[in-house]
Amino acid sequence: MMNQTSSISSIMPLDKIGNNYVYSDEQLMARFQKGDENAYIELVNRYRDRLLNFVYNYIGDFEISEDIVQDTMVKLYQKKHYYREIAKFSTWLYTIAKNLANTEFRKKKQRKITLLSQISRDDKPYDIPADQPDIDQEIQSDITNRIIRKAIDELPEKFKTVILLRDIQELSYEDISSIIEVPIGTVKSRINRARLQLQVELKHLRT
Amino acid sequence: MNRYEFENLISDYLDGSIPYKKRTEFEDYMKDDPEAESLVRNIKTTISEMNNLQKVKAADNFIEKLLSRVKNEGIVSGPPNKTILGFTPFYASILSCLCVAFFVVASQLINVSQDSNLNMKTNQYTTELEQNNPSYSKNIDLEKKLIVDSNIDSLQDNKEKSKPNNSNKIKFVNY
Repeated sequence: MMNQTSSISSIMPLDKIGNNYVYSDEQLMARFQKGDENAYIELVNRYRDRLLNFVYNYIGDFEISEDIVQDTMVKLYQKKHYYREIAKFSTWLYTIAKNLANTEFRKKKQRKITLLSQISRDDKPYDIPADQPDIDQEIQSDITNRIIRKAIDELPEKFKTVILLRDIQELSYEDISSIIEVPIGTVKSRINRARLQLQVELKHLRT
Repeated sequence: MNRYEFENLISDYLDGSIPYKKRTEFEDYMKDDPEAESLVRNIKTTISEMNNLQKVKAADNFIEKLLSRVKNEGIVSGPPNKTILGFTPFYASILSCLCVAFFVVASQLINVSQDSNLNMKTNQYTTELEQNNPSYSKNIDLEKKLIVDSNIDSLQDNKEKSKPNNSNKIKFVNY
C-alpha cells in the first residue's frame, strides 16, 4: 500500500501555491485513477474538513460524522474507476457523503436520537441572555450556534440538505442540483421555503 | 405583488438575481409592509449566522486512520464490473431467461387461441350450412339419431355381456 508518513510529506508538489491549487480536483482524480496515491491523499486533505462540517451539521454527532467522512474517503478509494470527468469531482464526493449521511440519519431517527438531545438534554426553549453585559460574547455566539443548529435539525430532510449545502457549504445551485439530483428550479424553491421555515423556528431568537 | 409572490422572490432578491422590474415591485411591497421587510432582514441575518457557524475540524490522525484502514481491511480499487446493456452478467442472464420463458408461454397461448378460433369457425360454418341447406340439417339429424341408436345398442350389448351367467355358476346336484 502506501508508506504513510513519507506519502503525506511527499504530497507538497500537489498542494497549493499561494491561494491556487497546482492541480484541480479533476486532475488529481485522473492521477489517482492512474495509480498515484499521493493524489488521493491530497484529495482527502482538501475535502475532509468540508465534508465533516456538512455531515456534522446533518447528523449532529462528531464521532459518527468522522466515521461517515472516513467511509466516504474509503468509497472514493474503492470506486475511483467509477468516476467520469463529465461530473464535477466535488459534487460526486458530496453525493457519496450525503447518501451515507442520509442512511445514518434514518437509522438515528429510528433510534429517536436528535442532535439537540446530545447537546442539551431537555427540549425547553433556550433563554437568550441578550441584554446581560456580563455574558461573554463567545458564550452568546455559542448559544446562537446551538439554536440555529437545532432549528436546522428540525427542518424536514429535503429542506435540511439544501440549506446546509447552500448556506453553510456555500455551494452553487448547479452543484446542489447535481448532488441531490433535482432540477435547479426545485433546489431554489426548496432553499426559499427552508429559509422561511427557519424563520418560524428562530422566531424566539429574533424577538 | 401579493404575499405569495413576495415570499417566492426572497431568495432571488438576496442573491441579487431578481429582474429590475420585479425588484422594484419587491421593494415597494417591503415599504408598504414593515413585517415583510423585517422577514427579509431576519433571513439575511440567519444566512450570515449560518455562514459563521462554528466549524469542526477532522482529528489530526484522520489520514493515518484512513490509510491504516485501507491497508488493514485490504480495500482494493478495481475497474468497474463489466455490464451488458447496463446489467451485471448475473442479472443479464436472469433477464434473458425470463425473456425466453415469456416467448415460450406466449407462443403456447397463441396456439391455444388459434385452435379455439378454428373450432369457432367450424361451428359457424356448420350453422351457415344448416340455415342455407335444410336437407343438410335433416341428414345431420338422421346421423345423430343413428349415432344415438348405435350407442344404445352398444350399451345393451355391453349390459348383456356384463350380465353374470348364473346358469354356469349354480348347479343343482341330485343324490
